[in-house]
Amino acid sequence: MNMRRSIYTFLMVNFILTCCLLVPSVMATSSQIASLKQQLIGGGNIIYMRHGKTNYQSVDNPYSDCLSQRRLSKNGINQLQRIKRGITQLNIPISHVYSSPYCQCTETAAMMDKNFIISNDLTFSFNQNQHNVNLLAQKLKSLMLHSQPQQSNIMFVGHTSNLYDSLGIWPEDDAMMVIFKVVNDKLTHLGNISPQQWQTDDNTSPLKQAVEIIE
Amino acid sequence: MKSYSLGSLRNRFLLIPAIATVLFALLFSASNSIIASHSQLFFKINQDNLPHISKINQLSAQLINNHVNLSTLISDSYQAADEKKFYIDGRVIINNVFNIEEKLTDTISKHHPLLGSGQTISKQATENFTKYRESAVLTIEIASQGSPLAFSQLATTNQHFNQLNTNFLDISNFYLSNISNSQQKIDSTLFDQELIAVISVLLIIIMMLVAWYGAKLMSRDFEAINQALFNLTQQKTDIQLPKSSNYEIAKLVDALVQFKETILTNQYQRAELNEMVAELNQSKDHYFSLLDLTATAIVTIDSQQHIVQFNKAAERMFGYYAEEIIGQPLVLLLPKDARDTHPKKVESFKKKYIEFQQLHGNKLLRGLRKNGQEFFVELDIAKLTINNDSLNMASITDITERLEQQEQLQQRTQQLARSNQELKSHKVRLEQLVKQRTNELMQSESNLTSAQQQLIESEKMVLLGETVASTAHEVNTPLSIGVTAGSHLEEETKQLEHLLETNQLSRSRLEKYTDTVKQSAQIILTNMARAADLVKSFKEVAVDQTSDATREFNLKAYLDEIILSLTPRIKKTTHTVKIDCDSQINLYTRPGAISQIVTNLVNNSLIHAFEDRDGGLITIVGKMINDNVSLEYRDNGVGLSESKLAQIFEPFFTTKRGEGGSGLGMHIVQTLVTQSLKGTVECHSKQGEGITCTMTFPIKVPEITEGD
Repeated sequence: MNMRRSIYTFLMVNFILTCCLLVPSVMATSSQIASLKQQLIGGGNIIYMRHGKTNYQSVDNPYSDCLSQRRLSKNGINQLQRIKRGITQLNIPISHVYSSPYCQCTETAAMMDKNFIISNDLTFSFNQNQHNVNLLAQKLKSLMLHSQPQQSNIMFVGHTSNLYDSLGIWPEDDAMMVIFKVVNDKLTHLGNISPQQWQTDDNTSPLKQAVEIIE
Repeated sequence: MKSYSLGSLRNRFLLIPAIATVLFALLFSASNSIIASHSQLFFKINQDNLPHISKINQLSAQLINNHVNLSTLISDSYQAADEKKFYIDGRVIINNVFNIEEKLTDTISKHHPLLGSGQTISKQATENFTKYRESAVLTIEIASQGSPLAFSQLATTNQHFNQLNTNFLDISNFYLSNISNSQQKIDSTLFDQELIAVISVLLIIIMMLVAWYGAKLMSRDFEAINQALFNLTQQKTDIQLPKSSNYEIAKLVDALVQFKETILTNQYQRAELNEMVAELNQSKDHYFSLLDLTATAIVTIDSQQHIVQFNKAAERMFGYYAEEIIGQPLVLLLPKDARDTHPKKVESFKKKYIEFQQLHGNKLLRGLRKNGQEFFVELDIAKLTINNDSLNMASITDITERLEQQEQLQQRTQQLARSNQELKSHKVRLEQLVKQRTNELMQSESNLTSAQQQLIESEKMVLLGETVASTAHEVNTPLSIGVTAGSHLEEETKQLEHLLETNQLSRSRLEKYTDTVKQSAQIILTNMARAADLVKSFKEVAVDQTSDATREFNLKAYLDEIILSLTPRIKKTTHTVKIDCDSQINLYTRPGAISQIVTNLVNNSLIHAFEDRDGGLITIVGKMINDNVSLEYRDNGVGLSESKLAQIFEPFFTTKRGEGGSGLGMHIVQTLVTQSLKGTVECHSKQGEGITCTMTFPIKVPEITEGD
């Protein structure tokens, strides 16, 4: 009996401790995220978005059609729906969405804007040789520098490796947005927005967000 | 034989050494190329195969090392999945894979393009390497997500790795086999040495054959020419000459051909000469045969006046045989009185070249037969010169019989001349008689024509008289009526005067008188007009009938007037006359002729055609045919038989002889149509079917000139 009580007590303490650790971290970054979102509402930014969470239960065949490629997982789709809702509620303007030809990217881009554009310059660089890796890195940088968004924002949906090769930034999470702005002909990294950081009206509880993160 | 067109003979003799030089050059070149190929084989062994084996082994070692690193990375992922670290470490492994792949491709494809089985091995290796690379990348990517699938993917990558190692081993084996093959080729050098020896022997044999064949070909022409020359010297012209394009041989052949032609020409000329001699002999025999056959005696004498030829006719003429007279002097054939003067005449004949006949003046030449009989001869002498000997050939004709015949002929000619003279005088008398008789005949004919003309004129006058009588009778009727009407009027007028004097004249009586006057005046006027018309038409027709003048008139109107003038005669019968004439026909001709023609035809119909008939119909049809008028007269009377129709235009032909018919009516019609109207007339008739006479004449008759 005491043993069982001890276990319950241990679990409760753990839960309380976890909440205590997570909630302050969420509360601590919320002001920066709000500022980033405000920046996005104003337009003139470049968003590099990593594709949504994929299903790794099947082996990818990147050179075939979508049926034999890695596709968005159910969680990935939910993530992206929430992000889209957040963008819509905040009236964040996005004029153009460019996507890698890989299916996990095109599905992600389609959820952001049905009129997305496929660009071969955003293709997956990880399976290329070093020469092509360098070439794709230069092209991505050039695309972002010359996109020149004015009143609206421009979004690029691609792979982690491409952004790392090009600008040395590693977006840790799936569906993470990396925000840039062109200042003095240079790309300035403003910050990142994780999928969990898109709060919506029906889902604003920090506890729920914490649960999602755990999931 | 194109191989012979190599220019001069000198060139031909150079041909064999030239061929030998070329064959030796070929042998040298073949040996050289074999040695060179062996050098290349050694070079290939050193340059290609060994470095490639080394490079493949090196790449294989690098790949094994890199694959160990990959396996280590995947094993670590199970413990801690750091995506970023995976990417950075994985990137190094992937880059190594790409480098090894590039070197492999460069080794097996670019620097040493493989053939045959080597090509298949290299292709498999390239494909398997691509599969290995893709599998390795996918393994790293999956492992970076911490997925357990990474290990199964690593197992797949290991399979590709093993296949790739097998491929590397195959490629190494391929190069090793290449070295082995090259070694075999080097071993075949010994075989090549034997081959060169065999080729050398073959070349020597070929050269010997070529030398033998060339010598045979070159000597063949000369042998042929030699044989041809031998044949020609044997007078055999059927020779075979070589057809060579070589200049020297061609010249020899030309000379041979000329030689052959000369021989042929000689043979031909000889044959011709023989033929001519044969012809001459034949001609000579023929000549002597002819001399014997000819009827003329031919005697030939030489310059010494001795007989050298005496033909058969001469034998018959002189009575000597040729054998006995040949060689005798000519004088034997002359009368004795002519023998003394003969030599002088012969000399004169020789000098002056005049006819021998002239030497004797007009005297006849004489000959002497063997029996001593003299006879007259005529001779022609031909001079011949044979082998510088002057010969005279005399052709002698015995003219004794001819002279007698000439004399007889002369007598007969004189008789004929006398007979001819008598005939001429008789002919003159006959001609005078014929002329006189002709004049008499012409006079008779003239009288006859004149009588005929008088008859025609009298016929005309008779016709006119009849017309006058009938017209006078016809005119009498209206005149009588007019007189009666006038008498009646006078009577009535007297009665009216009496009534007026006695004051008994009533109005009704006066009106009655007036009516009577009107009726009488009307009767008088009508009958006087009728009489005037009759007189007028009679006048015109009568004047025309008595005149031969031409004038212009309308045919229809004139026909009407003619019929009107005939009315007194027609009225007495039951016959009718119908005129069917184009009213537009205007003629310039002799109306009197037309009047008389129609009158005669109507009279004929009334007298002959409608005799014992009532209700006859005469139809006169006038129409234009081009510039002529066709006037057709027909009745439906008794008609004429064929024999009578044939005589219808003959003068004095009548079927009413003794009944008042003159027989001139239709003759006058024909005369008037043909002469006065310058037209034609023809009649058709059948017994019982009436008669039809068609007259055609020009609209405008030509004026009659003096000559006409």
